Amino acid sequence: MTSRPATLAPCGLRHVDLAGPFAPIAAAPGERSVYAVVWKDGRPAGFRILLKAELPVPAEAVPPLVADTAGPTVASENEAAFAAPPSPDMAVSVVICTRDRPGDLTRCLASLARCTPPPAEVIVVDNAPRGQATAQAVRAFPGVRYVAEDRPGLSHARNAGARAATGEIIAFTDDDVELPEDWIARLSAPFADAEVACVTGLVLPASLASDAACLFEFEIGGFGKMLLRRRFDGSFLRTSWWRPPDVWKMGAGANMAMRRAVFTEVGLFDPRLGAGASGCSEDSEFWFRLLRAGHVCLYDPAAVVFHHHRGDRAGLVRQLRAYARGHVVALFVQFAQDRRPAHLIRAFAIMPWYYLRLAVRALRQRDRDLLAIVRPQFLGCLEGPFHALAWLRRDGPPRLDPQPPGERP
Amino acid sequence: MGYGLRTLDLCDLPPRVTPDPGESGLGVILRDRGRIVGFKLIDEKAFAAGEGIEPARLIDREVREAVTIRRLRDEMGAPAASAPSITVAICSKDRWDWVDRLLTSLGPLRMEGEFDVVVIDNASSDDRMREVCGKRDWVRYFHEPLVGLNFARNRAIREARGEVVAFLDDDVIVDSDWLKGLRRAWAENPDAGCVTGLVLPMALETEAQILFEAGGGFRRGFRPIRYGAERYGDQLYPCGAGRFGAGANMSLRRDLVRRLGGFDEALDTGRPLPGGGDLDIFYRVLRAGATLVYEPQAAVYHEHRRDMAVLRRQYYTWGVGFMAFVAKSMASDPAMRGRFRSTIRWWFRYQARRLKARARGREPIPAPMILGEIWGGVVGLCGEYGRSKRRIARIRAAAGQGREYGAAA
Repeated sequence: MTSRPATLAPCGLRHVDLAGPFAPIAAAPGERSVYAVVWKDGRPAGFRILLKAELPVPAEAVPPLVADTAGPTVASENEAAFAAPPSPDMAVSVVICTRDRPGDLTRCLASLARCTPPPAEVIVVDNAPRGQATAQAVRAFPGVRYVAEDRPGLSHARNAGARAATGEIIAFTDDDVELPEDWIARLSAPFADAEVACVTGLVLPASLASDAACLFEFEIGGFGKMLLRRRFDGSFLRTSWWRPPDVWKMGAGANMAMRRAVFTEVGLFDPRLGAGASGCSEDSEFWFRLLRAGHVCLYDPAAVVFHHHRGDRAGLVRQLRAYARGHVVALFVQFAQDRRPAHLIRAFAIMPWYYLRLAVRALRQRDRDLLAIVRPQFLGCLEGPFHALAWLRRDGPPRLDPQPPGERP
Repeated sequence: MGYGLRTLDLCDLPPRVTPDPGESGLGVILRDRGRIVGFKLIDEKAFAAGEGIEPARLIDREVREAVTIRRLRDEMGAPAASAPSITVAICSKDRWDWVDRLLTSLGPLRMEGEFDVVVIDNASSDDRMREVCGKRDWVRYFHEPLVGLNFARNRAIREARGEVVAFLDDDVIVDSDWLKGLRRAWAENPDAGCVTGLVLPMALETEAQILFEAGGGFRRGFRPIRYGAERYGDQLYPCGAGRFGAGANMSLRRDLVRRLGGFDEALDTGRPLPGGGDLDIFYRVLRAGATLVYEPQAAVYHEHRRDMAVLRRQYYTWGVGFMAFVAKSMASDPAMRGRFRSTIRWWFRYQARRLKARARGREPIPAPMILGEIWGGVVGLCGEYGRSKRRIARIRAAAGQGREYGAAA
């Protein structure tokens, strides 16, 4: 069938710049499809899935194809939005949280070392490690600071990173990404606007070789594919009574940066949420608090990271269950803050109903791959409220000491 | 009362667009530096009390995207490869005055370089077609005694000298950029087997003409599209062949058509099965693994049917033609049977939705015409193709000769 993501794998990634030069787009031996990402002035402007039967696209046919692919984005965005960013004059600290994945971490640090301009400091937070491997991997990169955080949980780790950071801007990313050279410049440029408290960016796949990665990217939608800049402020929270604000659409934790000052004001990441705790959504719950406090977040697709999706089905299924569960817990946490019934309506009605309908569709179309990824999400959202009851008894997010670490007595 | 037709260039827009006295509405062709980028139909309701409307209101998202894509393509420059040689083929029966009009519109294009033109006279009842062609030394005239559009098209394939045969119906005239667009599309897509173009209305003088255009007409959008043998995300592809273009403006690679066994003579026969031949050849081109390209710059203007009775008949014949094509392909292409079955289901549901929309006042085409198309579909499914094949065999037998190209099985 021609609309099932799992049939795309192994899918080859091709990056084509509108400025050329244009080589033919062809499938490498073994590839069943190609995912073309079209760039304009160093910024992604369009995506296209090409099946093997549509390939090769001869070099002459590539310009009209990429013009058509990028057209809607280029038409909606003014020319200035594509310009290369000016060098930021703010110190940027990069925090990378990791747990027992020295290979991934080394790849990530190597890509970060190629960034121009470089960050002011790089902090690796080793989260409840089972060995010395991470510490050894960090030693290969002089200048990278190593911080150990023994309490397991991504939020604890990110908070430890934020406490250790000295920069005015703190950028967060994960160990399973690779960073392009202009990442620091692109992610920090929007902070030139004093109003912007947080910047998020686009997460592109680094590889789509496995069917698990294709399912995640094309069935789940990856970490979002928005190609237009978007400004989020308090008005984003004003939704109808039954619908909570879609804060998870604002970006991804693997590619975000905040002003250090906002952590003192609205608190750090909620340790009850995130990988290692209830599952995920520590990033979106933080944005929720930011918007409630009247801050502005900017999504800028020009800031790109390349994420290595999970390659194994079992890992993907676990991850999706944790995502759905964590999402429900985050809805409870958000409900505790603003007491709007919309969060609970989503947790108890909209989400289960949505997954149930997807499951029915999967059964009717005999789409086993879809069923395989709907099932854990359905289960995750059913068990979410029980987890929420347990987690909500624990402490919420701590606040950050206003003094940077170096200036403390 | 009829509609006027206007051409506006986005670079030089008048302050207001106003219908002339006697015109109840307008059809507006939008161009950007000469390139066609949109078509808008404005009905009388938009013109309050004889006032015009601001042209800026016509420039919606679709137009902006078409303009952007056009400009991006032009910035990338012309393709390095040159276009194949083109033979323009016009098949007609008795409508010598329309052929004369079409040849007149083709005349100026000869300034861009010579091209071969053949007129296939499909057993006209008098000699005037020959006289019209005789006036021009650049037109080659052939008389095809077997009545049926696809007999004539196959004759054109035999007589053509160009690598590409561009078929034009006799009820069109070409846009001044038609040949440029066609050559460019062929140069950009050296692997193409077929290039189709845009079909715009030549006049909107009668109720039937306006109605047809309001229902979508023959337009297939203003963005270039490259179709391959498969397309991701479309489970019916390539069975709903109507999207690819229209037989009134299509060009095909001559040796490919020869290899495929020519046009199916049992389709496009005139009454009682006057359609489906274009769908069939598009489908076979794609199934043969060649690329099909839709290029809006290659535009023609079509003289729509003037009266309602003829238009009603035409909707019926589209139903017959489409389903005859479906029935034929289900028999000849077993691998696609499942997709054709889904296509049939989809088509009847789609027509039912149109009827429902009509009942709610959201569909311009009157219910009897939609019902006529549905009835046509039923007739097409119930053995019309087989009956047509037997009829064609009789015509051949009566002519007492074998043909180089039989109807493709």
